[in-house]
Amino acid sequence: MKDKTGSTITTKQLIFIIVGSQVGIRFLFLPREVSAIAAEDTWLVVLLAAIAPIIIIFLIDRLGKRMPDMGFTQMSQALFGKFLGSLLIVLFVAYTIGFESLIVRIFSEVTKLYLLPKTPLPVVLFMYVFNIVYIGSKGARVIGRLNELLFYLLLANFLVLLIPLGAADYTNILPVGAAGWDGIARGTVMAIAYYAGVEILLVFYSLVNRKDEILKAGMIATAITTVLYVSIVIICTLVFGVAGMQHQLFPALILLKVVQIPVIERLEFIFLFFWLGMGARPAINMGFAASLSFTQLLKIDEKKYLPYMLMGVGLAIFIIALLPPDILIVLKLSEYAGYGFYVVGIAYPLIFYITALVRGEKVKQSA
Amino acid sequence: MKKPPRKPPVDDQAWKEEKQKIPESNLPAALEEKMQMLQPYLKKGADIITRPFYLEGEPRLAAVSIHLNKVIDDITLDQDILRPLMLSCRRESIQDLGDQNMMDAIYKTSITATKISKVNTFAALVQTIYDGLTVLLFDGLEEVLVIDIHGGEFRNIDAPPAENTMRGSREGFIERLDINIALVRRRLRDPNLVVEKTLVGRRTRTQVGILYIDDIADPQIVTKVKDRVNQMDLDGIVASGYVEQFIEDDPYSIFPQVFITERPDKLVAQLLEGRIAIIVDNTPLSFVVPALFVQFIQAPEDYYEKSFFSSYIRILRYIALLIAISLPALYIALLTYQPELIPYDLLISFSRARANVPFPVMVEALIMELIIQMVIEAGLRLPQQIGQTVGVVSGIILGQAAISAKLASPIVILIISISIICTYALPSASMVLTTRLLRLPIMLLAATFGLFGIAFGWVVVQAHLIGLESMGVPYFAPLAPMRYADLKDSFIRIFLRKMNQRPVSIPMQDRKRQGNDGKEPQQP
Repeated sequence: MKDKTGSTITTKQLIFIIVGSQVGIRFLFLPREVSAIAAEDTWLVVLLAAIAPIIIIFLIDRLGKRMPDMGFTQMSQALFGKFLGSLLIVLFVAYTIGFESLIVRIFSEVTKLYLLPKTPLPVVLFMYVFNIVYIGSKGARVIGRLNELLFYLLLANFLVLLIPLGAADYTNILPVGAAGWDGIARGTVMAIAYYAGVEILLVFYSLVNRKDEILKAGMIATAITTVLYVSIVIICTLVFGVAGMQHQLFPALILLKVVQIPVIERLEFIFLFFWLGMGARPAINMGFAASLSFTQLLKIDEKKYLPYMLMGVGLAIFIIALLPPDILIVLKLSEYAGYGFYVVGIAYPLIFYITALVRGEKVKQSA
Repeated sequence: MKKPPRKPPVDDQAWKEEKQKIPESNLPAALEEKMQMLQPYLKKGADIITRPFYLEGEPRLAAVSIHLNKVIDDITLDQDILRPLMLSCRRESIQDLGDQNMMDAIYKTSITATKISKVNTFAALVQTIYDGLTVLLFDGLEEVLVIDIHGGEFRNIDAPPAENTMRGSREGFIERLDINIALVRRRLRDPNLVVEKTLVGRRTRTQVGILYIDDIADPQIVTKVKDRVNQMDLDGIVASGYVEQFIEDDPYSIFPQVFITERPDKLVAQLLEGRIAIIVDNTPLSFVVPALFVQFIQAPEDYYEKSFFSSYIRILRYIALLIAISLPALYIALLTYQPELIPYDLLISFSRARANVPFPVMVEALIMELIIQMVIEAGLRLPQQIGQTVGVVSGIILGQAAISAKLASPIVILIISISIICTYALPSASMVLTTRLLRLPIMLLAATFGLFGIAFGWVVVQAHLIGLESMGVPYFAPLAPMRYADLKDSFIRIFLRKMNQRPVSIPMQDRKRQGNDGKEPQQP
């Protein structure tokens, strides 16, 4: 059993952690990437893709109900044995580090592009990694509270994105079904990757204080994320049109260039200023999850060694994030990272659940 | 070559303590012997007054009263103790009562002072004398009478200088613990108000009072506070700040983790919310734990005025906090990195004003910031008349001269002045200090990374605040973790009539505060 006073989170915080792990920097370029395939039907595609996180949360909840007090690592080892179980965790940690490196890199690039054109990339990267390590080292409770607070900031930020609707052309979103069945299907598969982050529930399940509400919390979280995604897609489509979106690296950000507000000359700066905390959030959450899993794997004292583990994870993220030469390659890589999500986010819970079903009795005895 | 193990330093501390320790032995019966034992201690203090006297009768009973000069109330000693003992206590009437009863008879029949106790060991006797109590020694009786008639010269109850209000009580705490507790008691006549006293400091032996309402305060937190106070082991505390620094959760935080007030009415309001108050003798302040961040932005008047005004002023204070910490940083960041964010016309006037200043924006702002901090520091401890001079000199002459000498632009003086004004718009002195300290690192971050630096600074501060705890209670409470019920008393303050329940951010036992249910008062 874990130290219940030191590292439990509430169900409400779980909602915000899941939302926070999903909605980050990729929010800014989601409309462009998906609309390249799904055209006018992007909003529909994003909506359809929400089925994936719902299934994932359902599976994880089922799985967790069988072994409520086990951490992700213990669960994996109990199901698959010492070696294979550990290997799965190592893969999970590697995927997380790789994925978050890309996120941090994209984020640093955006920061560099808009705010600090002359500052060397490693410096900006370092500041993000510093946040990951600093906040993560304060423990799960602080992660929960931070996500909670930032969620309200996210909502405020999101309201700003509604301003450009004044320049919307409502014919842009028609006709429905323009992409055809093929386009919708391929688009959905692609859009699923944007729900990456939901797999954090694997790690956080054992930390939640009320297990009976997890399923509900997960559904609410998915609903919130879906609404945010569908809204941004609709806004971008209405304002730019599908063809217009393809020419912008970060459509959601360019959106704010459309409007002119007196006194505040450039709205997107203000937006980005507040988005800084938000964008780093998936990396903070996932970095924490990776470090926690790793400490559990090594069976060392969580309280004592978690900060050091975070430093290690932070260093890895920092180095990997520096490897790709430019942003276009990074964006390309992030597509491949999406495939990683198909494995870790979707296949993991499925395999785990099936194994639990098959080996159910044995596992219960060993635990 | 192997180094010889270093010799441990001679630990003579224990030996010294043993030597200094007052013997715990029982007191002898004879007065002469008692005085003999006390002699070395009496010799050390020129302010110890010994007064031998007799209880009349046949034979006369010799007695001595010992007290510290001016620590006790002289008149009470004369009129209520010595006079009845010397004039009306007859030896014959108590002759046959035996030792134990004789003592009782003496104080029950002849002493009119009220706070009386007895000690019978030498160590306790010596300590009692130095604690400022009056002791009476009688010949032939082993026990010693101890009478508490503290008095002497003290400051009167005065208006609290740092927390003035338009409405509400004008009484502030003073240096005497007993009076301070009485001030609280007068406002809170609940039998459940617990007052506990403990001694802190091996040499100063300072009284520390812990106050809480038994059936509201969370027992776990009460125990935690008591433990932390009792674990303090140092030779002396001279002000409540010592206790504060010993009991706070995170000494490495620049944010205040205990809430300080010098107003008894404010303290009562805090006690009613389930908090625990600590009052230290000789400090005209009290402090309250657990403290929350939002508390430092609230003033007692918020509750005395109508809620519209209070809410408006509270929101202003939050804006003031933001401005106080980040306005100079924003100025630096915008002018250095993102001038395109400033409206065009304003930018022109900025650069015109700065045209003659030879320094970068950061240096200019830093110079002014440091000068202003020095001015504040200089004015703080000067007598009021000279303090005003400092204000005038710095405000008018220094600012004008700095502009004429082209050391600073008028804009930067304006910016720094606004941020200082906003700093002092905060109602809590401890939060003012935090703000003053926090401004500088944010300015440095802004100078290095521009807007990104400010955002980075805020995220770190935010994360720090979220992680902070006061007595195990989340410091940033109604905001993170978000407690919707408590939001009605954070940024805004809703009608008192609607505050039916105590804030959930502070653990407590009794949720219900009032039975008004937010209804309109019934018209007869």
